Amino acid sequence: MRKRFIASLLLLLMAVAVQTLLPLVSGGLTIANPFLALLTVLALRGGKLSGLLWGAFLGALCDAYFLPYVGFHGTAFTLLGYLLGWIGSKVMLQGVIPLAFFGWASYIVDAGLVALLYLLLGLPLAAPFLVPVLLGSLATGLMAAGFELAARKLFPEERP
Amino acid sequence: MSRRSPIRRPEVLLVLLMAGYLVLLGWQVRRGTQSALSSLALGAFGPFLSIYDSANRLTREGLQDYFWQRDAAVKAERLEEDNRELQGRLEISQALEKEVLQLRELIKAPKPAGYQVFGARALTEFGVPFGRYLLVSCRSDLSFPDRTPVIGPQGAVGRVQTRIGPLYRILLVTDPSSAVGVMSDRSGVHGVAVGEGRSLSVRWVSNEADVKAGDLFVTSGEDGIFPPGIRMGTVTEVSDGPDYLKRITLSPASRLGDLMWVLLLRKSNA
Repeated sequence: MRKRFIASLLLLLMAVAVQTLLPLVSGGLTIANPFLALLTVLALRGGKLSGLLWGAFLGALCDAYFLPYVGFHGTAFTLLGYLLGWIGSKVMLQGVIPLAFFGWASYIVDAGLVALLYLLLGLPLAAPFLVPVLLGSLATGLMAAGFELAARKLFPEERP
Repeated sequence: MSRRSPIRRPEVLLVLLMAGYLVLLGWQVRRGTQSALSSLALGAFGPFLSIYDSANRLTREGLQDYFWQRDAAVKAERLEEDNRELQGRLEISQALEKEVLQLRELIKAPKPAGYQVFGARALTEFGVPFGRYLLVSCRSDLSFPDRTPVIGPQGAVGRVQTRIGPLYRILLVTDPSSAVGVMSDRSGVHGVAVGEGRSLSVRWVSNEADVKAGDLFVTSGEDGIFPPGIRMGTVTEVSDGPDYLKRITLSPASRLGDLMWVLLLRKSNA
């Protein structure tokens, strides 16, 4: 349990580092969301409860990074963490390609939920919206695959 | 059968967390961006956000600055090149202007009667420290014998010493081996102007002769080379000598180091 916590913490630090250093690589890469990629990896491994707790925490962190209000990504990540945890408990995933797919899909769902909340609260959405979402989802999917590879190193007991 | 606490059930927790987030969101949006929660989150994640912001700014502004500086350097280099070219053109223009002015002076200068004048391009002065010569270039179809007098816009320059193809070596009046018959324009005192390198000295003038500083000496024509009346120089120093002859120093009338065009004189009946 303790090892899992430390491994998760290391992954979190990695996500923060990636998020921080992304602008150094390219300003355009800031549309990617490493926290969501990390949530995908952790929630698929940990189950519903772990997923929604990680989702609530990472969502708040993501809001602090990107948005003036805390709660948009928090709500979306909580829901996504629960759903991913539920999926993780039902299916057996092999390889990193499914993670890339779940990362990509999570980004789309997250963007949709945040946009919905924006509209419900009467806030204006920035344009253009669709193209950055598509590009960001692809980059996040790739990141999720990368985090999965790192997680396999950090969670030795899960090795087949 | 032990009953599980509702709070430990993921679904209940999910609903509670989402409801909590939604309430918080509604509260924040109603209050505006400066909500306490937002400030709290910013405070908690401040260091990360600061690094993030720095990295972002470093990338965007740094790159912009880099490109701006590179463009500025290229522009500066181009401007410097233009400046060099313009400076070169200016120097050429100044040289041309100087040459035009000299030519104008040369045309306006009084010509001695009974002589034909021919222009020649002054190339270079040489011979220092042993002598004072000038190399001039003239039309190749013309031929001038040795000892042909050469004058400039301001006065006497020298005489032809040797011909080398289209070029002529001129022995300047300041050469120590040059001697020209001169006379004072004011008092008519006669003497011989001998080259001293940079200046001239007038010899064979008695201590009783009337010579003052500032007097103009012109050629007397007695040497059989220069026609009379051509400016030779102005007296800068004059004193009585122990051998009953005055020590007279002349400053050459011609600016010998700055000549661009000269005139060669040929007798009309020659």
